[in-house]
Amino acid sequence: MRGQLNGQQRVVHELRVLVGFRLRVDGGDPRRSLAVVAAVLLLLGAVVPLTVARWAPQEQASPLVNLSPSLWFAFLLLTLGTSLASGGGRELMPRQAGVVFPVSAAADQAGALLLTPLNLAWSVQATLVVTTTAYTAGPGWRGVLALLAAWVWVLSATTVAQLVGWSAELVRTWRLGSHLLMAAWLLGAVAVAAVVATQDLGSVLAALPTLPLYVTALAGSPLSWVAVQALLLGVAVGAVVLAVPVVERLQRRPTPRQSDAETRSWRRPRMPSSPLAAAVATDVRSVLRSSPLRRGLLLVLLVPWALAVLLPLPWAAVVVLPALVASGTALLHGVNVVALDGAGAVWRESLPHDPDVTLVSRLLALATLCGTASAVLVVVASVRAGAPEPSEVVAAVTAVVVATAQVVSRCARWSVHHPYPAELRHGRDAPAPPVAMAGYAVRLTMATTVGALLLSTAAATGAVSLVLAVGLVLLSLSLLRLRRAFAEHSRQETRARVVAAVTGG
Amino acid sequence: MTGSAPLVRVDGLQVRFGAVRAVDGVDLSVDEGQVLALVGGNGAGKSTTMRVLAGVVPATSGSVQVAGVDVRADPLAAKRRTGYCPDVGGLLPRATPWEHLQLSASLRGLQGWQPRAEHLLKRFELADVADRITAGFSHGMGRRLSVVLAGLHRPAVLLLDEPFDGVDPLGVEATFELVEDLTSTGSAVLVSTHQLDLATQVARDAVVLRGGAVVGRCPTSELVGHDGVRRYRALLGT
Repeated sequence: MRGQLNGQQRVVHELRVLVGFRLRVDGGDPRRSLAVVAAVLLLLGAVVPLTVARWAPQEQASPLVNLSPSLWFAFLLLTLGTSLASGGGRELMPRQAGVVFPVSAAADQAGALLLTPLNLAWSVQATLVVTTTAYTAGPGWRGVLALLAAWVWVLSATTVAQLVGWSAELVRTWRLGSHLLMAAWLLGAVAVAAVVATQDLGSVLAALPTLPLYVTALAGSPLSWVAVQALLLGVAVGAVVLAVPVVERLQRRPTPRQSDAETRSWRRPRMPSSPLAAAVATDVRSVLRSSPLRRGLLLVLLVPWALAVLLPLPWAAVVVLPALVASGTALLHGVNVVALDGAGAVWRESLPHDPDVTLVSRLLALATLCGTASAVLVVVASVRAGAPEPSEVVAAVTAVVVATAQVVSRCARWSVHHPYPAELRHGRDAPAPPVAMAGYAVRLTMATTVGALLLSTAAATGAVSLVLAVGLVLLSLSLLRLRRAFAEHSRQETRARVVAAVTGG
Repeated sequence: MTGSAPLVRVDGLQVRFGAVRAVDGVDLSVDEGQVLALVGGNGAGKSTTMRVLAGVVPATSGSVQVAGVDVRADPLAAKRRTGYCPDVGGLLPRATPWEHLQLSASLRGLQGWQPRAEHLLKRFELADVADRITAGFSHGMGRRLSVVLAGLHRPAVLLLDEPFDGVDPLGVEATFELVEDLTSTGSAVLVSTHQLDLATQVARDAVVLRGGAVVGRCPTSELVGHDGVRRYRALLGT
């Protein structure tokens, strides 16, 4: 059967099989799920941008014209970051399950590309880019053409970022590869710092390579428009074609970074002072020794910090930052925090301990990561945010506490209700299947952002007591959710189900 | 056999997962110093029975006692008296063997456990990898470490689920030694395995499970040789 298919047909066939399998395993009706995905893509990718272009007041568009090339460039940086952090991209079928199936490098690569829209950060940024571009172009054919050009940019930036991600992953397999990559990161950081220190922001933005692309998308002659889009599409196709041999090579090589972690000797820790300390130490080590979690943490910490340093944000925006960082951190492993133990969950459950201790320990590790990342970010951003009102300072501090509590309580509930097996061993591993991850990302971001906006609005009134009252209400709701999760976890039947799910048995 | 109450007592154990009856009315007991083999094919209910005894899976009905403690009523006390080697995996992927031992010792409140831990790691040929994370271990190494973890605290009841699966002869020998050491001091040992030849070597008595129910009880000597295998197959209905 397979022998009768040519190369491209085989890739399409493999993709169809893998997508169908993935959707069925995740418990959905494949046709219905695909219809929902298509509807959402159409809505966010075309209906929303064209509606905004048609109906939004055009007098607001001119400030966005100056901002749009930066948005295009920021999209490239973001998609590069996510591709580097996820080792090229997510997998349609987890490596553990897929190892016995003959999945070609081309199908693996195409699958990762296909899953990209399920990354909330990518989707939000892509929607922002295409909507802003269509809006600044205005209604009618001009808007439609600008929208098409924006999508071509999104496609080419994504494919190039994936090629870079796969290539970096291949470099990592070289003997000194990880050192080379670290040097490249440092060089990049030094270059950015040098540019920021020596140039003013306006001249930096004017020199962005996305400026001529954006100008052509909006106001280029028909010939230049077609030429630029053809060039970008050529780049996209070239990146996809070039990535296939890279993925092929990658499939044949072990991941040395992980091999290093698995073959080196670790220093023996001191005897913990209590069962809770022992459990926390075990969970923190589990997080820090996981390659995808380390990389993800780096991304979640560095990107907002870099933005906070580069761009002076008002206090109203500083209050929203903890929501975004806490949500991003929780998406690394928190949404399925019970998977940290992997197959060892059975043994750990057989140890004599208060079941609350294990859950508390995992959530403490998560809360520490989310809380610290958010708090440090607020401090960094506050340096350039100008002199605050007392209510704004209180709102920022409350936002850190509330966002952490919201994230931890939701993660506790999801972990107990919907546990999944997850290795969290390789760069491409995620704590839950792609569709579930997309759902978690939307719900976490929505909940925390709404909370942050409420705090920000309360801060704008200048009343500290109102900020504290809003914070208290949000915190109480989170504590109630947390209490319900603990009550559920205390039942042996629940824990047995969780253990069976995360161990795949 | 001392004539005292059995250290493991299972009466009318039933475990259901939705519509599936994984264990359907199992009765068994293991006395002080006794080794009992739980044998049967895949899906016979051996591992589920072991998980109930280890306090990992709750019984749907029936009574389960280890060392005089009702597992359902006081799971914490039951777990303190039990050492459990799970059937598959059973190891935290990003913790070292030493960290596993430390976690177990901490939760069990053990003092001065380090010399015995070092001894067991050496005996099971894991001393050289005691500080490497277990994600890089072979299947056999993982099995051997699971046995070490089960035996560290000299439990009153040792539950070994498929301890010989993928383990080399030296590892099997070390497991036999550990079982002998513990039974000589009065522990009860329950070994679940589908490897009949090893079951007959490690235990004197066997319970045969099929479809979640007990289909036979006999001394393991009756399962040895051509006739023994024929009898075993007859019990399994093959």
